[in-house]
Order: sequence, then structure tokens, then C-alpha cells
Amino acid sequence: MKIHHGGEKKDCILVAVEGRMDAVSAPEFETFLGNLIDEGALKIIVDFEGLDYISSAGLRSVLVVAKKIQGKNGEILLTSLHDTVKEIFEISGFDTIIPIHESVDSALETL
Amino acid sequence: MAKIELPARMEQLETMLDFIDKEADAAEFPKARVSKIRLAAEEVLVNVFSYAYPEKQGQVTIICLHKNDRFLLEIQDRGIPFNMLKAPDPDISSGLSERHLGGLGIYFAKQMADEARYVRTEGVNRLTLVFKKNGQKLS
Repeated sequence: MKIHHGGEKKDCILVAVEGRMDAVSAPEFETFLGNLIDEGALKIIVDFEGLDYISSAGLRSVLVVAKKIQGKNGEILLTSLHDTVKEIFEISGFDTIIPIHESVDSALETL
Repeated sequence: MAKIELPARMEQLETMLDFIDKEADAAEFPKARVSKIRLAAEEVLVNVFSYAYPEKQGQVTIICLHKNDRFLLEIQDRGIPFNMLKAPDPDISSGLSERHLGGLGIYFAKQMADEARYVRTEGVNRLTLVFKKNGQKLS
């Protein structure tokens, strides 16, 4: 898994994730996003365009990050999920608790 | 049939999953099915790493068997007796603030596999997951 900081747009920090988010790599995602929130990020868009696999450990990290940012009245938006990843969000019901958008642009429009 | 035995530790996860991927690929399973097999395997293996050997180091044995349009994955450990298939399904309808994740991994494994079986024989937990090449489930 790779994580890139994609800069800022409309007071929103963009982050892109690539590869597989599994039990080994998920803690890295959690730490990366956790640090951004500690540094004051209140709106984060996570681009999953390059993510082709996520397991329950990955979802757990997404949930931890979402709860953390919600605790500061911020929000996290996920975009560009592949079908296989989207399916995992759907069968876990995560698609109903974390905002998911088709693209980074459509996510930005809602802010 | 292909088989590997490795220490039941998180550092071995990628090696184990890559081994299973390779076998499912060799069985000419479509990429989307291979990804589901990998997911189910990860969830079961992480569960074994976390709970099978609470006080000592132990091994995990992985057996892959391909027959006709079926891929059979058997995961064995000699840890405490535990049928993870009997774990209760998680509540997948609760909201963000009250969401807990217990049981989600095993729920995924059960959702991904076309069949799941557990037996304990001769001190070994044997969990078998069967995947059809063109499975109806979530393909």
C-alpha cells in the first residue's frame, strides 16, 4: 500500500491510497490520517482510485479515523471506489456511515 | 495439492496470502474471485494469529486444492479449539458513533466462500472454505 498527500483544495486535504489495505498495511493508513487530524485537518478526502483490496482490518482503520475526525466536528469523504472495494463497504454497511463519492471533484462540490 | 506451514504471525500474512493467490491463479480463477479468496483467507488467518495461540508460538498450515471448478482452502492450527464459523454476525446497521467491528472479518469470510466447514480432529482446528470458479455469491 502507498499513501500520498495530494495537497489541499477548498480547505480540504486530499490523500490518495494505492494497493492493498490489509491487516499489515492498515495501521500505516491509520497513523498517516491520524497525524493529519492531530495537525488540525478537519476535512479530508481520501481517493481510493488506486485501492484494489480492503479487508476488515482496513475498514477498522477507516472507522477509527472517521470517529476521530468526527470527534473534532470534521469529516472524511471517500471517493472513486473500485467495484470490489465498494462491495466490501456495502456488505459491511459502511457505505451508510461514511460518505462515498464518485470522484474527488464530486466530493469537493458537496463541501 | 499445495501446502505450506508457517509460524502463526502477522509478519507471515503476506507470504501466506501470496501463496494462496498464486494457487488460485494457477487454477485459472477469475481475478475478482481470487481477490475474494484472498480476503476470506486474510480474515481467517488474522483470527488464528490473534486467538489460536494465546500463550505460545504456533504454526499455521495452509492447504490449497483445486478440483474441477472448485477451489478448496483449508487452514489448520493446533491452538485452542475454536469454531469461528459459530461466531455471531456483527450488527451492520449501526451508525458511526456506535459502530463496533467485532466479528466483521469472519462475517466477510463466510460471505465470500460458497461453503464453509469446521472440524477439530486430533487436536487440530481445520477450517475449510470452498470457492466455486463462477460462484453465485458476490461475484
